Amino acid sequence: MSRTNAGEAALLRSARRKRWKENLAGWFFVSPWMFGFVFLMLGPMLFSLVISFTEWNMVGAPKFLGFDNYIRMFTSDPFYYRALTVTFKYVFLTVPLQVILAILIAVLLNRATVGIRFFRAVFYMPSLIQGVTLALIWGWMFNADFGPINFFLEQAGLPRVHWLTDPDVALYALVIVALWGVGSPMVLYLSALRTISSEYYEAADIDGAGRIRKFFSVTLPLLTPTVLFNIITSLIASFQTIVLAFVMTGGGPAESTYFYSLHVYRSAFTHFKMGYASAMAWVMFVMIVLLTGLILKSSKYWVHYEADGGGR
Amino acid sequence: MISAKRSWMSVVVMVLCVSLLAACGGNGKNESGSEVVGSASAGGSPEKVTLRFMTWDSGQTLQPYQNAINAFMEKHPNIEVKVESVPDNYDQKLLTALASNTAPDVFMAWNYPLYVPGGALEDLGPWVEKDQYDLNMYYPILMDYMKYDGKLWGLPTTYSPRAIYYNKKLFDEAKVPYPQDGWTWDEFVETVGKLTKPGQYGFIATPDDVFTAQPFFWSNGGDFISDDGKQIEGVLNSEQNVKTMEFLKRVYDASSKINTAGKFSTNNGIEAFQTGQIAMWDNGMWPLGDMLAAGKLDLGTVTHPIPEGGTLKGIIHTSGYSMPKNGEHKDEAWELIKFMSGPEGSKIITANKFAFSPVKQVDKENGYANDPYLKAFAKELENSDKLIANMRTEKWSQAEDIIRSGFQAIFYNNADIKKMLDTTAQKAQEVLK
Repeated sequence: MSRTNAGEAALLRSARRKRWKENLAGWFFVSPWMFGFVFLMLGPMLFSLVISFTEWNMVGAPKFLGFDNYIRMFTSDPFYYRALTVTFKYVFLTVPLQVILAILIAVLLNRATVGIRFFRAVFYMPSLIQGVTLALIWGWMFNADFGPINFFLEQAGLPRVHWLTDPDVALYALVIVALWGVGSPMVLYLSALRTISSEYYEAADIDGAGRIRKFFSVTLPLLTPTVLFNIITSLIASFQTIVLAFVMTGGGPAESTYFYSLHVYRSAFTHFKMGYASAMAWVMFVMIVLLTGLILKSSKYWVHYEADGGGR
Repeated sequence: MISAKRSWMSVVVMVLCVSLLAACGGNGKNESGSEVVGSASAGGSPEKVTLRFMTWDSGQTLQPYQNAINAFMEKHPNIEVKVESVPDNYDQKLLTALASNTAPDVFMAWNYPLYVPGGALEDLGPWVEKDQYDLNMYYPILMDYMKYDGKLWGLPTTYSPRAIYYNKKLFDEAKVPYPQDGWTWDEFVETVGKLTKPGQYGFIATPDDVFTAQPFFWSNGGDFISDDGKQIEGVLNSEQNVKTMEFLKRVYDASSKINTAGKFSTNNGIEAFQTGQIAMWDNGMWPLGDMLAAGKLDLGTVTHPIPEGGTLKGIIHTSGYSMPKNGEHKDEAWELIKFMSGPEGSKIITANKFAFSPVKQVDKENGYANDPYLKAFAKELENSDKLIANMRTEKWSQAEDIIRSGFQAIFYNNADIKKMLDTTAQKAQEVLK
C-alpha cells in the first residue's frame, strides 16, 4: 500500500512540476507584451486618470482641482457639445456605410469567375494608405481650385463643390475619405463568404428563393459574426478620428469638423491644459466602453453563430 | 519544495521588473542642483562647449540665422552651436522640452505669457546688469514684447511688420491704378472687387486668422482686449469693432465667397500669389528678398488701407532669444544671445531685406526705410504702439479660439455682426476668469 502511495505521490509531484514549468514558460513568452502593456499603456492611463483631477500645464507642479474638470466639461465649455455632435454624426454615418459597402463589394467579388485575385488586390490596396499620407492626398483631391474631383465635376457641367471649405459639406468629405479604407473589412467578409457552405444555397434554391431572397436570408445572417466584429472595431476607430480632421481641415470651417479628439488635442497642446484634456479622454473612453457593451449585449438578438444551430 | 521554488522564481521576475523600471526612468528629473547662476566654467577656459539652438525657421528662412551662427562660431572657436529647426508644432516641442528639462541652451520664443508662469525660463535681467548691456540700442516697443510680469525674458531677434504686396501686371490688365499709402477702406474693397474674376482673387481674406486681423481693428481705434489683459467684454464688441468687422466681411464677400487658398497653399497663399492668381497679398517682409531675387513677379508694396478718420497702426512680428532656467552652459548661451541679438548678429541676419533689425543703428545702416519695396513696411511701424493680445494674458489661446469661432460664424454663416460680437465677447470673458 505505502509503496503505491509513494509512487502516486511521486507521479503527482512530477505532474505538478511539469504544469508549473509550462505555466512559467507561458508567462515568459507573454512577458515582453506584459511589460509593454504595463509601462506603455496601463501606467500612462493611470497617470492620466490622476492628472484629470488636476490642472497642469506641464511646467510646474499639478494643482489639485477635484471634479472641476469634469464639471466644466459638461457645463461651461463652449466647444464640448459641438465636438460630441460632430463626432457622433461622423461615427453614425461612417460605420453603417462602411459595413454596407464592404459587404456589397465582397458579395460582388465572390461571384466573380475571372480575375478574383486581381480585383481583390485592387480593392484592398487603397486601405493600405493611412494616416497623414491619406489625409494629404485627399486634401488635394478635394481642393476646390486645383483638385481632380472638381475638375471632373466641371467637365461634366456640374458646379464646383467647396469640399473642405464649405461648412455644410466638409464633414461629408471626411466620411468619403473614411470609406476609402473599405478594402480591409471587405477582405474579411470575402473570406467569411467563402466559408458559407453551399448546402444552404442549395436548400434555398429548392425552396424557390430568388437571388435577393438568398442574400437576405442566407448570406447576411451567416455573415453577422463578421459584421459584429466590423462594427465594433470601426466604431472604436472612428470615435478616435483625429488625423483626417487635423490635417485636412484643422477642425474647420466653422467647427464643422471639430472632432472630439481634436478638442482633446487642442486643450492639451494649444491651451496646455493637461488635466482637462485627460478628463475628456477618460470620458470618451467610458463612452466607447458603454457603446461597445451595448452592442455586444444586443448581439445575441441578431448574430447567428453557426455552431449553435442558428436562431436565438 | 515546490513553494520554495515558486517564491524564488517570483523573486527573479520581480528583480527583472524593477530593473526595467530603473532603465525606463533613467533620465528622470535632474535634481535642481544645476540652478547655479553663472556656471563654474567662467573665465573663458578653452574647453569645448556645445550649445543647442532652437528655431522655427527652416530652409530659406533659416539661412540668415545660420550665417550669423557661423560668424559667432568663428569668433568663439571653443563653442560649437548645433541648430535645431522645428518648423511645425514649435510651441508644443518647446514646452515639452522645458517640462522634461531637455530644453535647448538658446531658443526663440514669442509667447512669453505661456512659458513664464511655470518658472522654466531664465530671467535675463541679472545678466544684463552684470554685463552693463545697453538695452537702449533697441526700439522701445520691441522691449515690451520681451517682458512679462515685470521681468525681462529675452533679447529681440528681428522684427517684421506686415504690408500688402500687389501684382502690378494684374493691376495693369484690369486697368486699375496702383494703390497708394493712405488709401481708404472703401477704395480697398472697390479694388478687390475689380481685381476678382473667375480663377483670380483680388485678395485672400482669412477668416481663421484672428492674429493678423488685429491691425485692422487697431487702425479704427478698437481692440480685442483691454491693455491690462483683463477685459474683453465691452472691448471686443465696441462700436468701432462692429464697423471694422463689417469692412472685413465686405472684403471677404468681394474677393472670394470661400477662401480656398488657406489650407493647401503653404504660407497662406505664397505660391498662388507668385503664380499670379492673387492680386493683393498680406504678409510680412520675409518672402520679399527671395521674390525679388527670383524676378518673375513685377510687384509693389503698399501699407494697409485705413478707415476714414483712423490711423495706420501696424502689427509687429517679433520674438526673442531666451534661455531655460536649468541650462548647463548659461555663460556661453548668454554670449550667443548677445551676439545674435546685438549689432553684429542682427546685421548679418537682416541682410538681403530679410527683416528689420531690432537695433536702431543697424536699421539705419541697412537703409531699408528708403528702399522702394520696404518703405511700406517701415511706415507700418511708425505708429505701432500696441502689444499683440497674446502678450497681455496667459489665457489668450482659449479666448482666441472663441473669437475665431465667432469670426467664422460671421464670415461663413453671415451671422449678425453686432449680436455675434456681443455673444463672443461674453463667452471669451468667461474664459479669462
